[in-house]
Amino acid sequence: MSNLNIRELAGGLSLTALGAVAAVYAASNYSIGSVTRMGPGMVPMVLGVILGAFGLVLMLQAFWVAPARGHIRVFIPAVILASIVAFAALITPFGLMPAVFALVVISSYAEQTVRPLTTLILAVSLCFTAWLIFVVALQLPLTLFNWPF
Amino acid sequence: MDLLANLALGLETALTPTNLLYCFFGVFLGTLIGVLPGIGALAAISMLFPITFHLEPTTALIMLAGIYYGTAYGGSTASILLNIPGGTSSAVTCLDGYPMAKQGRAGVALAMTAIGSFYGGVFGIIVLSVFAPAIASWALAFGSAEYFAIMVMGLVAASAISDGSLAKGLAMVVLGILLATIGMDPQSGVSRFTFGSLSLLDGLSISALAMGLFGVSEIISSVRNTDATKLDPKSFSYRTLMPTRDDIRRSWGPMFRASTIGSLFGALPGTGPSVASFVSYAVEKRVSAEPERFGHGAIEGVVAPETANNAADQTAFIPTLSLGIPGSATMALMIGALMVHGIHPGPKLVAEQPSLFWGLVMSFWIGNVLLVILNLPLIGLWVRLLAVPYHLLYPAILMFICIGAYSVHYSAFDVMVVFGFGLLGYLMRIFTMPAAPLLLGFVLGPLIEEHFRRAMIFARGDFTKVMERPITATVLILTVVVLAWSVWSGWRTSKRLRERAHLMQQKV
Repeated sequence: MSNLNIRELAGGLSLTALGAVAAVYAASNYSIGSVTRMGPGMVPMVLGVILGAFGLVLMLQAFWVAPARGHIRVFIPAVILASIVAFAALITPFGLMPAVFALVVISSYAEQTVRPLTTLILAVSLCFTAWLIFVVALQLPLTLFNWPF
Repeated sequence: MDLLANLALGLETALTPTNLLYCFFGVFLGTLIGVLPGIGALAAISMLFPITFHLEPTTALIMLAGIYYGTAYGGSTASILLNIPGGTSSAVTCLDGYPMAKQGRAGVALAMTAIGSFYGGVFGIIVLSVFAPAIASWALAFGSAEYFAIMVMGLVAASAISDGSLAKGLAMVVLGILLATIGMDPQSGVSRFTFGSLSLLDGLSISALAMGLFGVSEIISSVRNTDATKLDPKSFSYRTLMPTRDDIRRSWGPMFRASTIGSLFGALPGTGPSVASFVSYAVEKRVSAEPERFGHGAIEGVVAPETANNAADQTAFIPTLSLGIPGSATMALMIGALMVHGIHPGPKLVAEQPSLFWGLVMSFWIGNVLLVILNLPLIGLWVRLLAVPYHLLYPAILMFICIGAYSVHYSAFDVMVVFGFGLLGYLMRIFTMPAAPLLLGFVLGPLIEEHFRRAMIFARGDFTKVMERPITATVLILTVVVLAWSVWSGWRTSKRLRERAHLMQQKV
């Protein structure tokens, strides 16, 4: 089979796995009930089965469809997602300003050419914008700086 | 005159200073976001969604709706000047808009776009204010079985008509409904898939889900792919904006036809502004005496799709507001905004919340006027914005996403939900699985489950009893027809694609 599309196969396989896990988890942890009186587990279980079935269809289709184009990026998603994690980790213990600063500095590295000064100016001005919009204009009760120790 | 009294009430609501201000914010931000490349209406609405939690429901909806139809105006600017569609609904505009710009007639194209958009918008509003209340009063008699059937049809139509494989679209709908079951089951009180986490008890936050799925994954795909283009803002003076008598003579026919086409496709489930703009472009090319002009800067090819997508933007609110069933992912977010405020959209909405419904409708008029005012004299400003480099833009977008997600419950957990769905959204792009059906499934999930369970109780677990109800049966049969048609057409397309791939291999 020269036409087998590995990417499609992997997509279908992961949907089937996800559906199966959801169905088994729902069936073993929540009561299913009867068709007339459905328990909380019935709908998730049925959905899991349907999702798994669609995954199987996609796996079958992987033998038909044309090979996928476009390369998979690894570095850019990793950097962007890491900047979000940094924001989530910093916002509660340290406050809004350090969180925004870290987010902007880390996410800037997704671009190939990082100029430290540009990034610094961008981070400071976005901190100011965040304060202006969310604290001054919208009056959200956000802590700007915090020191947990 | 009931309608007149309602319109007066609506106008009164829409003209309060707060609503007027947020209507302006909405259309302004909408135009801004529509102009900026690499960020679409859906990402924009999900980003600004958390801000609306702090507003009155009517005001919130007026602002979100303003962003929605504002992006259509802004998107056409990017299409005409740069040949980069701001969104799928303005993709067709590139075909004739960009050649016009190259001929030095960008100003005329932009001006006629604004006029056509305004006409389309106004036509759509009239259709909306006539049909939505009528459909709502008819739908009052609907029971759970009817609702279940209509929602299934809406979801199937949305995933069947969206591009790409039908199986993927439907799988994403199912995944969306499955994700919606996370949290406390309202009927039994059992917490499902929470794994002991208190933050998950209320379910996943719709704004965090949408921002991750559309905003973050969009940024990941756009970084290092988007170039800012240099344009001379001075080339758009008032004089170049003036259309000639010939332009106007050519335009009013397309405007008339496209507004009707747009209104129809906007209201149908699954189709929307994008389909409307494609169809109206095709129709104009068919009826034109000189179809060979299309693609080389024909003014009809710019006016028709822009009129149609604005009309469709307005009539998309018909099923959303009269039945509570969104036809697109953007409309699903509107429903989400209402639900956050404890308002359950459905046929009772028009009667029970007249000031919300009519206020929103009347705000569309005001918003459309504001858009014309904003767009014509400020074109120079929008053009300058196109030159903002993306590497300065995306950290700012990420910041708004993170603060927005955090500010809903002041919990870092919601930011991590954004992270999770950003990752999922990017994986889905790799596997070319569409994200819009997932959001639709997620929003309709709880309703579908509730109506399904209730319908089965009434039918005593016998599905044939459900099919004995005439409306339910008709809708479900229609769903099967849509499904069969899209399986058939999908099979035909894939056959053609394979033949083409085969030919390519032979040539090599």
